[in-house]
Amino acid sequence: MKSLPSTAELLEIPLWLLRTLKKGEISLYADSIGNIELTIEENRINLNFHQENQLKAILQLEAETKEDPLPKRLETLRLLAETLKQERLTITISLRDKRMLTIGYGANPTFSQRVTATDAIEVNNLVELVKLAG
Amino acid sequence: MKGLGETLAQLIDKLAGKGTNIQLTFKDLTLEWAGMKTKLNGSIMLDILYVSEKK
Repeated sequence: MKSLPSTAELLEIPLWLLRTLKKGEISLYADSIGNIELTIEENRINLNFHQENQLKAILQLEAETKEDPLPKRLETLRLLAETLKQERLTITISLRDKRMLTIGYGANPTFSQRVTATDAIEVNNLVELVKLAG
Repeated sequence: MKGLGETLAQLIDKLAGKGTNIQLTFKDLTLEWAGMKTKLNGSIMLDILYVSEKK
């Protein structure tokens, strides 16, 4: 059986991307279908998913880490968000140009802070996000 | 980096699935790694192949 990544291993990817990529754009196509666009600005990565299932897959991968699922899912996200904030880095996640989540330094949370227990996660579209994560 | 590589492979597997052609397109992508700056333009095609997995 293929071993699942640990939370720490999963967190390495966005941190490595943000530290290495300075600006520009990356588009990912699978079998000629446009899937994901990454726009990199100074200290910020905007991830725009074109397909719902791809964003779902990312959320599920995060939930499938070696550690226990539900509370750990939020803890993983919180750990990433706070690490990003400390390094003044921001990641935004959108689905077809509609902003879903802002994590890290650029987050400006309102009521979602009560659920996430951090000011480094901003939920931009709660209804859509719950649908995707469910 | 081994951990990162394995995690990236799992991520690609989730995003594209096995036996998929993945094309990455770069537009004015500036990278800085180990003190070196590089700019990338263009695209690369990845043919994702996997060795058969034991069930």
